[in-house]
Amino acid sequence: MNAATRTSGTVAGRRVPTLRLSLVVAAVIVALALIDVSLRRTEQNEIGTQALQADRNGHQLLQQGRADEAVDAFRKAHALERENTNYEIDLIEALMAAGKFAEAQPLMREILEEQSNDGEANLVAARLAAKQGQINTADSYYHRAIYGAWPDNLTQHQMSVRLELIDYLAANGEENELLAELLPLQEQARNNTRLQPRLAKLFLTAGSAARARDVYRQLIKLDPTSGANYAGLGEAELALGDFRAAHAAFSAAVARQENDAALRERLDLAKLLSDIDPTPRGLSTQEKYSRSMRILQLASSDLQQCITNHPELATDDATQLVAQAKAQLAAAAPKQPTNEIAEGALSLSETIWRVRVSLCGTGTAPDEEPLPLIMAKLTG
Amino acid sequence: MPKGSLRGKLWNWTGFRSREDQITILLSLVIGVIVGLTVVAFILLTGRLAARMYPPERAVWRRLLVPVVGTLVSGYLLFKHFPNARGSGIPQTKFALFIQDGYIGLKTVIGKFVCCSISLASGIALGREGPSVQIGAGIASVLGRHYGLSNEKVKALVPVGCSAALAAAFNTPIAAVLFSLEEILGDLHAPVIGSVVLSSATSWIVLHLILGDEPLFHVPAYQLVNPLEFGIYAVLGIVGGLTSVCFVKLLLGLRIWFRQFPSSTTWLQPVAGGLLMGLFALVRPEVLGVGYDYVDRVLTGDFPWKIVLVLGVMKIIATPACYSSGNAGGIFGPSLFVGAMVGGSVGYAAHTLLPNVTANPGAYALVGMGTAFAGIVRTPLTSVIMIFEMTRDYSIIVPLMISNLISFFTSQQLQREPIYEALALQEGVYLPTGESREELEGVRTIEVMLRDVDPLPASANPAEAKARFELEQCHAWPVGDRNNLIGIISSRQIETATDPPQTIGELVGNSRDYPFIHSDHPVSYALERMGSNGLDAIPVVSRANIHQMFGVVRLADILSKYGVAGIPGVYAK
Repeated sequence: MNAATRTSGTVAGRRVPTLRLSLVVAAVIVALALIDVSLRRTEQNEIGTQALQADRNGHQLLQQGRADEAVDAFRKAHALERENTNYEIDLIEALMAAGKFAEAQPLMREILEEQSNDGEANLVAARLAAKQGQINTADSYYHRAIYGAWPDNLTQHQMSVRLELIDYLAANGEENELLAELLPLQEQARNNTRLQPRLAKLFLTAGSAARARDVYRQLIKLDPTSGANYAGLGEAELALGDFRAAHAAFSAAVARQENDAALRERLDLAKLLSDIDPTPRGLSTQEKYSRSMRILQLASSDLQQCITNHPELATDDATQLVAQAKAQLAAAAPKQPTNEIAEGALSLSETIWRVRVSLCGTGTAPDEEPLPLIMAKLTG
Repeated sequence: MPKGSLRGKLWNWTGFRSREDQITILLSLVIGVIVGLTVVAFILLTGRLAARMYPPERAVWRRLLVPVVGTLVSGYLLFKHFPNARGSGIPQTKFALFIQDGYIGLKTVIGKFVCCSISLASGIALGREGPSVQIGAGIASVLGRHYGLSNEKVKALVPVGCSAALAAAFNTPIAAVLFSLEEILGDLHAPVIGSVVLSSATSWIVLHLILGDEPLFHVPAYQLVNPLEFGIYAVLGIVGGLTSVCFVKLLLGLRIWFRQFPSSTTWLQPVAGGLLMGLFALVRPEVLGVGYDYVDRVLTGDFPWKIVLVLGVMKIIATPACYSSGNAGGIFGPSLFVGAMVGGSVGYAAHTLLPNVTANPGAYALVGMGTAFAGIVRTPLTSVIMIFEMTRDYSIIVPLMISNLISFFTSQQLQREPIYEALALQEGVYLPTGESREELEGVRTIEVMLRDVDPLPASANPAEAKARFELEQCHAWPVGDRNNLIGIISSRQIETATDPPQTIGELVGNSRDYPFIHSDHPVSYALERMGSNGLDAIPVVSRANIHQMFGVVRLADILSKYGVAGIPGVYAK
C-alpha cells in the first residue's frame, strides 16, 4: 500500500483524507466517552445521595411506626438505585410492616432470583413467610439464610438467624424442629456464657428438660450466686418429675433472691408436689395411700370443675367417674391400707385425668398446676 | 487493495468487494458507537438538568417559571439559528431520506442536541427519543458525506443512524431495527438490514457499557388471570385507539392553528406550550417532563387511579400543545406515558368491577403503553417488540398483541393518515407510506394474465408464428407446450434471422434461459422484464417448474388494467 492510499482514498469519484478523518472520528469517540463517563459519575453520585437520604428517611419513619410513609420513602430509594438490593430489602420489610404482603412477595421473588444464596435476602424471605403463617416455607428460608452468604461475621449472622428461627419455632410450638435447631446452637455457643441461660430455657420449651438441667448445672458451677440459675434448674427438675430436687433448687434460688414472690410460689409448688408425689422409693404404704387419695381428690375436683364450666361437654362417662371418685373419697379410710388400694386410687386418678384432658384439654388454672405435673410423672 | 492479501480475502468472503461497501459497513459500526455515545450523553444531560431545574421539593413557582423560560430560550435558538431542529425529528429524518438524498447538516444535529436539551430539561411534555433519531440520522449523514460516499450510500446510512439512536434511547435494539425498517424506510425487507442491525447492536453495547443493564421500566411478572381478560384487553385496545386518534387530531389541529399566526411570532410560540405545561404542573407536578418514573409506578399498580386519570388527560392536552407550538421534542415518550395512564385507568376500573378475574392494573398500564404507541405512531410490530424489550416481560405478550392490533385498526379507521405523514402533508411534503407502496405494487400478474392459451409448437414455421402474433395482437409468444415450455419467439427474431429457419424451434433452442414471470409477481416486475428483453408478451410459469406454463401476460393487458390502453399516442396495439 503506497503513501497516497494510506492517507486518502477515492470513494464515489472523490478523494477523501481517510486517515485524518478517521483520527478526528476517533478523537470525537474518545471525547464523547469521557463526557459520558463524567456525566454518568455525576448522575450516580447525585442519585446515590438522594437514595441514601430517602432510605434514612424511611428508617426514621419505620421507627416512628409510620409504615405506609416508610414504604414510599424506601420505594423512592429503590427506584433511584435499583441495583442496591439493600434498599429493596428495606422496602420489603416496610411493606411487611404495613401489612402489604402481596406487594412484598414479587419483590422478594425478584431478589431471590438474582441472589438465591444471599443470607440477608433469605432471612427477609423467611420473615415474610413467617408473617404470612407459612411455617414450613419460613423454616426453609431461615435455613437458607443460616447457610447462605453473608458479607462479614458469618458465625455471628448464623447464630443470630438460628436464634430468630428458634424463637419463631418456640412461638409456634414446633417442639421437634425447635430441639433440632437447639442442638447445633448448643454446639456453636459452647463458650458463649451469655447465651447459655437462654439455651437452657429453650431446651425446656422444646421439652428437653434433661438437657436444660445439664446446662443449668453448668451455669451454677460457673456462677453459684445466681438465683436465676437455681430457679431454672428447679423448673427443669419439675419438668423431669424430680420434685424433691426441684424443691431443693427453688430453695437455693429463694435463698439468693429472697424478695422474689414468684420464686416463692414456685418453691411452694415444688413443696406441694414433693408432698403428694406417691412414687419415691421407701415410702410407707400408709403414706402412699394418703398421697394417692390427695391426687384422686385433685383429679376428681378438676374434672368436676371442667364439666361445671362446660356442661355441653359433660358425658355419662365423666359424670360416673366423678361419682366413683367421690364415693371412694367419702369412704372411710382402711385401717391397713395396701399398695393395691393406693395403686387403684392412682389408676382411677389417671383415668379421670385422661377424660378431663379429652374434654377440656391440658390447660389448668394456676392453682391447679400441681395436677398436670404429677399426672405427667404418673402417666409418663 | 491486493486481492491476495488476508484483508482482501476477508472482504471477498464477506461479499463487500467495493471500497464504498467496505466503508459503509465499517461506518455502520462507527455510527453505532458515536450515536450510542451521543444519545447516552443526551439522556444523562437532560436527566441531570431536569433534576436541577424542577426538583419536586423546591418552590412551586419554579414549576411555572422553568418551562416558560426554557421554551423561550429554546424557541429563540430554534428560530434564529436552528430552524431544522424543530419538532420531533422523525418527519425531518424522513424528509432528509426521501427528498434531500439523506442530507442532514451538522448544524441541525448540534441544534437538535442543544435545543432539545434545554426544552426537555425545562419539563415540557415531549420526549427525547424522536430527537435522538434525528441526531443519529444526522451523525450518519455527516459521516457518510465526509467519507465521500455516494448519495445513494449516504441515504442508506440514514436508517442506520436511526436504529442506533433508538436502540440507545429506549434500550430496545430489536425494536430499533424494526422501527427503522417499518417506519423510516417503510420496508421490512430493505437491503440495508445488515447495517441497521449492526449499528443498533453496537449502540446498545455502548449504552450497556456506560449505563448498565437496566430496562427502561421495571414491572412485576404479570400474567393472564382469567381468559375473560382477553375481552378487557380488547376493550383497552379500542380505548387506546380512540385516545390515539384524539391525541393525533388535537396535535394536527393545534399545529394548523399555530401556523395561522404571523411568522414573526414563531420564536415566541413555543412559550405557549411552556406556559400550559407550567400551569398544569402547578396542579400536578408529575406531568412535567417525560415522566418515566411515574410510568414505572403505574406499571407496578402503585398509584392512585384518580391521579393516573388526571395525568393521562393532562398529557393528552400538553404534548400536542408543546409540539404544535414549535418546541423541539418527540412524541414517543409522551405516547407511552399516555398509554400507561389510559391502560392503568382501564385496569383500575376492570379490577374494581371484576377483582377476581383481572390482574393488577399495572398489567393493563403495560399493555396500554403498546396500544397508544401502535395507535399514534402506527407501527404495530415495533410497538409489541418495544414494550417487550422495555419491560422484559414476555408473559403478557399475547394480550399486548391483541390490544395493539385493535388500537392500530381503530386508529386507522378514524384517522387515515399516520401522524408523521400527516405532519409532512402540513408542510406540503408527500412522503411514501406503507399503503402507497402497496398501491404501487398492488396489481398482480395473476389479475391480468391470459389463461388457457397454448404456446406455439416448436415445429411451427415462421409464417404460422406470425399468424399467431397477429391473432394474439402482440409481437412475441411462448414456444413449446404447456408442460414443456422451451422458450419465447418474437417477430424481430424471425425477421432478423440470417438463414430463414424451417421451424421456430431452430431459433428458440432449448434452454432455461428465457424470460418469464410468476403469477404472484407485481405487474411492475412484468413490465421490467418485458422492457429488458424487448418483448410485449411474456409467459407466466410455475415456481416449481419453469417449463410449466400457466398463461401469458401481454403489455396491452397491463395497460388495459390501468385504463390507458386505448388512449391515443400512449400505446398502439
